[in-house]
Amino acid sequence: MLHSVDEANRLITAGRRLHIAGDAAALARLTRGNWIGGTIPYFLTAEGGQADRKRVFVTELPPEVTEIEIDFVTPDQLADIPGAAPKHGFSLIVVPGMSDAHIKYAVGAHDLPGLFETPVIGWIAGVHLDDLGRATPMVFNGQTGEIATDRLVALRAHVPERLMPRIGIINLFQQGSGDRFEFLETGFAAQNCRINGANASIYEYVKTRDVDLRRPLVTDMSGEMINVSFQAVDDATRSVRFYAPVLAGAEYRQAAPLDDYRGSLLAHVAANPVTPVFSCNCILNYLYADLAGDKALSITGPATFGEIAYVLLNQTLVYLELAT
Amino acid sequence: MASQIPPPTDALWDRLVSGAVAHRFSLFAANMALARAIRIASSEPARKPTMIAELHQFFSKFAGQLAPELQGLR
Repeated sequence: MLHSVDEANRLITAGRRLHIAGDAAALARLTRGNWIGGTIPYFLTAEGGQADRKRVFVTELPPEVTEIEIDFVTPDQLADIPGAAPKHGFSLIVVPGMSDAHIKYAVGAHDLPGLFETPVIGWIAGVHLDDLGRATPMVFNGQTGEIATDRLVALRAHVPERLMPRIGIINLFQQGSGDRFEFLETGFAAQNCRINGANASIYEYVKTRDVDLRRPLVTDMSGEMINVSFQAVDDATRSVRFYAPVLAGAEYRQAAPLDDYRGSLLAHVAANPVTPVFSCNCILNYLYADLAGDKALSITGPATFGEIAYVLLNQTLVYLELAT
Repeated sequence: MASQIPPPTDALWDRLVSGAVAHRFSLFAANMALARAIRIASSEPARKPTMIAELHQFFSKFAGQLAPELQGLR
């Protein structure tokens, strides 16, 4: 929930184990302790969706967590993440958006051996949309007081064997029945691709067909719908930019249309009556479902520049439960 | 429960890693691990045995949830 910096500092000083999201200036005023954090000033709260630069969103780890470790992981150390995971527990990570760590995690996580054996949940830190291009997303190691823009911060939480940490994902989208897209290279931007098997310009396709950019590209990974959201159409480079990498060799289709974005999100959340120990929601859901001031969502958390459920996801709500 | 997971030599693993079995497991991580194995085995067939071994290890770890689903696919 949202707290003033003073309130958050009281929780830290009391020894609570915390995840904290907020604007950079607010996070920088937090005292040292058992917490990690990342920058974002958008939140889904019990009082409604809101942008708040002064308060911070605090998620306290449950008492069942027996032990935590916090450290930074550099882009060159990403392959160490599975090996460093707790035997019984989960990893909570925050990645600075637009950083080398963001790119390398997004591109490489799919192929990390052992990654899927222990839950990894987290999000991509961002900035206020008014500050895009001016401010830099940051992550914080509360134990050391260090701030990073080039590394991800990881909190590894140990839980008793009787509990099973389980990641849940709320995704509004299914593959549509339209054209098939295959990309020749993995990356956050593309100029060309194969459309229905023929070489084509994705830029021309999007421009000439007036594609609804609120609907992501979706690939089917053994039954899981994995979204890649459109970020922008770049006339200068005649390319299309995405919020997550399109993967070479994967087959994408644009998501089927939603009649009612907000209604669909509310229905999906209502169908998942969960009590998460951590959750976050995509800022695109916040924007496209017009959640500012909206009190209807029961699952709260920061509205992020990308969600991590083992791998980088877009336009999803992700959460972690401790199941018995 | 791990004993209820078919051994790596069982033909089911080859069918899974070849993408010949259409099934969505109840565990998100299982589907992602399978998608990874299929992708790597498809592009580098020599790594198929390694992918089967890794997948077997994964399913053994989550046997309590996944063994009944695997049995249904045999």
